[in-house]
Amino acid sequence: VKQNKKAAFILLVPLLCNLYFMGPHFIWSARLFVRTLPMNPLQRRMAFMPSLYHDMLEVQQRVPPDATIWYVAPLSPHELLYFLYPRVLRWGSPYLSDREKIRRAHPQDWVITNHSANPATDTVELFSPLQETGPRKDKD
Amino acid sequence: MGILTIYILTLVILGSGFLCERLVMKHSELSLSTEWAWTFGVGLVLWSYSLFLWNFMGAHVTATGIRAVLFVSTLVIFFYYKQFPTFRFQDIRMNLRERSWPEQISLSVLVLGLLTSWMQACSLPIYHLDAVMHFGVDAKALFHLGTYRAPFFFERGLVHNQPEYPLLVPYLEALFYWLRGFADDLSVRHLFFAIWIAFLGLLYRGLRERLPPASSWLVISIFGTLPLFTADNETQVVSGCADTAFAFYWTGMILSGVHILQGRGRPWMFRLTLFSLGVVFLKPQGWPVSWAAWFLLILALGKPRWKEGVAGFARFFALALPWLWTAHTLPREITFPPVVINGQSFAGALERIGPLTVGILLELTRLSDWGIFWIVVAICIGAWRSRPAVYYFLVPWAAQFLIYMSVYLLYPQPVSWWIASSLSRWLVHGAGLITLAVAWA
Repeated sequence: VKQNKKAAFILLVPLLCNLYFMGPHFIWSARLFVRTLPMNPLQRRMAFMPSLYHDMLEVQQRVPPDATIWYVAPLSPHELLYFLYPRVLRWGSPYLSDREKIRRAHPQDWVITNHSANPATDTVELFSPLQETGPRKDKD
Repeated sequence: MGILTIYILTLVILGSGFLCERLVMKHSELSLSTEWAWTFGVGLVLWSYSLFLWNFMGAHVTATGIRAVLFVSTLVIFFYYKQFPTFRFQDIRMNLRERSWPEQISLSVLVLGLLTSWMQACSLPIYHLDAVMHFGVDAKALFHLGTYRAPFFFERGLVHNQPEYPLLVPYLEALFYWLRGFADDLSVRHLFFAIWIAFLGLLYRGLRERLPPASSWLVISIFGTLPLFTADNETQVVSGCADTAFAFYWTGMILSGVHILQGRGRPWMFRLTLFSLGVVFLKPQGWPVSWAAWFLLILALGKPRWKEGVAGFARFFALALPWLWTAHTLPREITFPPVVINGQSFAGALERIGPLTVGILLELTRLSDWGIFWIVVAICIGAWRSRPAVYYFLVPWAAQFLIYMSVYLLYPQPVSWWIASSLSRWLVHGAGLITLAVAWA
């Protein structure tokens, strides 16, 4: 019994160590929980990743769900694919300079560019189909 | 409403696993009180792989069909299962005052850890990169299309990160979306919380075979409160990534194998088959690690029983064949901009050993992620007396570790990128086995 108690005491050391490092996670989670409790899922996304999700909402509102979007960026699309689905992205070009070439090649489709790999500061620009609206940039 | 629905779905999955084991295996002595974690694992594979096979045969899944099947399943479970009135979790006495103070502390800390994960699941829709990029988008596609047999998965010109990625998690998420009627990516995080509870339950059963309840609770508390499981990154258990689920199936697979080696009978071969199916249907590295584990099992069974192992492997392989074929036909990983992955030369691989070793040591001693878990493991490994049972866990873990390290050495991405993006998660996969090895020493 004494040995068991000694072992239990020794095993408490890693547990307390976990508690020390887990404590901030608990506090962060509790604050987040309280803060997001009155929000709907959309508001939660807007509160958490405002920059990217604001752009995503704009794209979602403007581009019909069955539309095709050509992806022109040197970066992997990260979350774009998820937020824009069921709008499918097609590989356009890894070079931003090819944007107008892609637009002319697919005048009935949308084109999206992405300048940043960081989801928090994603710089997404959407370009409408040439055939419908002419060659103008829709968003700066 | 979404949270209530996901927990009802969890109970149906648990009941389905239980019925499957009881009816298919004629395992009449099966008790949910002690084996709920196993039956939940069986249920998860049963649902996700059945949906995949349905699609594989060319049929589509519809929300109405799913609701009808779930409704009938619930009725069947309700009428067949006679054990509900006597169901109780063994070893949980609600009166904390009956317990010793180390137990009281360990249980309190464990509850705090679980509460942290639960609050994280309640707060935000899935947002971690792998969770949305791999599993989330596939789940959405399955939900909208009703099948994986669509251009979104097969057409090379479409943007899709790793279309060949296994589909267990996407099918489970889509199952919930079909039930809800829309892609409720907030409530779906509770499914991962349920998997986490099942993983802890499975580990607890493994520990209880060697340790008294008090020590088992203490070890489970140490494991369950590791800081990286509640950190705001992809190691978070409710992040929506497949790593906790993979650790659950991989640990369950090896534990089933150990029980077979101990001659505990037929149900364990059934569980081994389904848990190894879970391993290959969760992550791409599931194939090499499960094949290695089967090979080691057949080797360990030796001359008198090797046929038993080969028969089990044949059953697993036959079951997994549709996914193997499908994964082979899906486009391989598309990098953007496209690059040719040739792999490292032998000399190049050798040069990576140094930085990789340093990276692993730094990761193992990172207190903010692992506490002193690996330090305690190292002390226990140094101190233990050699017992064969320990090697049942250590050898598969070593095989898994070697397979992972060979990927780090041979693939051309920088070592620092591998370490930053995946090392901690890959260590999570084997942490359950290490915990069992230390406890069984």
